[in-house]
Amino acid sequence: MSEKSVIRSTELASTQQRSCHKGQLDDPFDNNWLEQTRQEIGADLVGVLAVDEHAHPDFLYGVKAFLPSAKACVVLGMEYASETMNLIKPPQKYMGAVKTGDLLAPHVNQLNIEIDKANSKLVKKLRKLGFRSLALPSRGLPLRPGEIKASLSFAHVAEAAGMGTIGTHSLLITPEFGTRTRLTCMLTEAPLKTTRRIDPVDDCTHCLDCVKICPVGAIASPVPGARYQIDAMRCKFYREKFDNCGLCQKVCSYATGHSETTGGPLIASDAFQHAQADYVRLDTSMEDN
Amino acid sequence: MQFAAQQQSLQEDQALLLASRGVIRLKGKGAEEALQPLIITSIDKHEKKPLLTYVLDDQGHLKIDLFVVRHDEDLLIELDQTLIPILIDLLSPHCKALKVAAQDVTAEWRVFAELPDQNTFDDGSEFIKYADPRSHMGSRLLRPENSRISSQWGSEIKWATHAHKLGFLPSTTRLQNLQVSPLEAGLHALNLLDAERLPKRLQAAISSPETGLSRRLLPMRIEPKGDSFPTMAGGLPVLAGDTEIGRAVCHHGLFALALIELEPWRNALNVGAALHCADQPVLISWPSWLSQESRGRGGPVAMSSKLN
Repeated sequence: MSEKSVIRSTELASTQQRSCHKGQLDDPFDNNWLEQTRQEIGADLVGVLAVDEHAHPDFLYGVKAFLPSAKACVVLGMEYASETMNLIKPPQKYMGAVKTGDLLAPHVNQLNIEIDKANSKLVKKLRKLGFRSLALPSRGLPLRPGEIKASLSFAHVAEAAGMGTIGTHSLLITPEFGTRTRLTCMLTEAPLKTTRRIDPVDDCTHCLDCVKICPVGAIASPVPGARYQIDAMRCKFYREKFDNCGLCQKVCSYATGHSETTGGPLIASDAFQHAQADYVRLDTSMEDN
Repeated sequence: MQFAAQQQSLQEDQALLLASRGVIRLKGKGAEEALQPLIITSIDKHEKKPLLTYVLDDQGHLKIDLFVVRHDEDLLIELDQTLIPILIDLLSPHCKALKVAAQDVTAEWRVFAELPDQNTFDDGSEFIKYADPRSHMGSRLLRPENSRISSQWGSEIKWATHAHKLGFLPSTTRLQNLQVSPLEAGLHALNLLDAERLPKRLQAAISSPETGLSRRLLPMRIEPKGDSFPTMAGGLPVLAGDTEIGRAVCHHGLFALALIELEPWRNALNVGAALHCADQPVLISWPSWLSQESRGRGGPVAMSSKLN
């Protein structure tokens, strides 16, 4: 690359930067810019939550921890393949059969790579415009000291950015893909505005199918003072030590109409009348071994 | 170990005891004809199925919600206990004409709700179970007062909160002095209305509820500022900035129902005004069963493409 062209590209960047700063009055970062950017970076969904002093303390905690000067948090979403989700089965159905649900973990890894790439493209684009930006890893963030709570919950930021609703299972349900959505976030100094939905619909049907299907009873029907009630340790332990699970995600995509196949066979099964008993059965089989 | 687990699940009776509900027995061959003039659903269309229906006041607003269940040759009517004398008064002229006896039998029955994730124990004693036709509200159980008592029975508050979450009115008594029409409560979307049984004014609105209704009973979620917050019910105003956009109807925990004026609410959403009630931030949403009547279900992406 010649010296001249380098100067030109630098000039272009600084011109764009100036126009963006100047353009704060006519809002260069409107919904059209956001949609165009989403297509450029290859994300399936995008939403923005602006940082202001009235924002939720949990959100401000995350912002302060990672990029205190950030003015907005951008959430990117990528669709899980429904073909992979359809292979997930409850533990009883694997008896003597190929454990097809194990494809979920490699699929998640692949999605993480793709969505992180999209995130770093967005970070580069905003940095070129002169705004400091930080891409957060899609694998998740460090927990807060002494708590099983992420320093910044992508799903909660996404809900506040109008991308969907957090359901009884504490996962984000989007109108586009239901629970089949992988999320990541980036923090930026760019003055982006919060995205909102027209006539917000509660995407959770409150059918409680996720409560019934959980093989370890980690999801409870919430008490009046809670939106969801999750035993995070039980869920995490089961997923890490026994099975990749994903049953609540699968059953939710049936309930919200985001599965390719309709009339999911899972909940109708008598085997799931007593979720607790299934856990005990699993426990017993381990003792036998 | 497995056997022990099964024993455990049999002993657990997760039903929610609805202590506020009572039962009226209509005894006599003309029981259906005696009830029919008062309610907004045609009993004969529902053959022998249990029925959720409503009694309206003179202005066409919701007055009494009731379940009608057949028991032997009689009708059992399940409703809020405080409304029993009112319904018996309304029934009395029809009952006299048709020689039907209306009797408060609340002392003989316990009313339970069973949410979709719950199981109840069948101990062999008599019970009547019927589905709640509202999506994901589970079913109801009538058990004789002398049947087994369980320490596992849950509170009615949980059932009411579940109803609030879904955008359903748990009982018309919770409306207090607010006047809500059956269409504003979304009953047409649940196929609970028979147009010919409605007042004429509502018959016109039922054909195009999207344009014919200016307000709706919608779920309102509270995002509290601290650990405690006041009850948001009884017509407390819901505000967008300083503008009133509706009234809170009833409330338990984080979930409430509010009667929302649609246009002011949509204007507030467009300008991004923060919504609050009793000085607490609130979120109002369309329940998923009524989403077809919202103007858009899209996320930010769909929204931006609509703007283009």
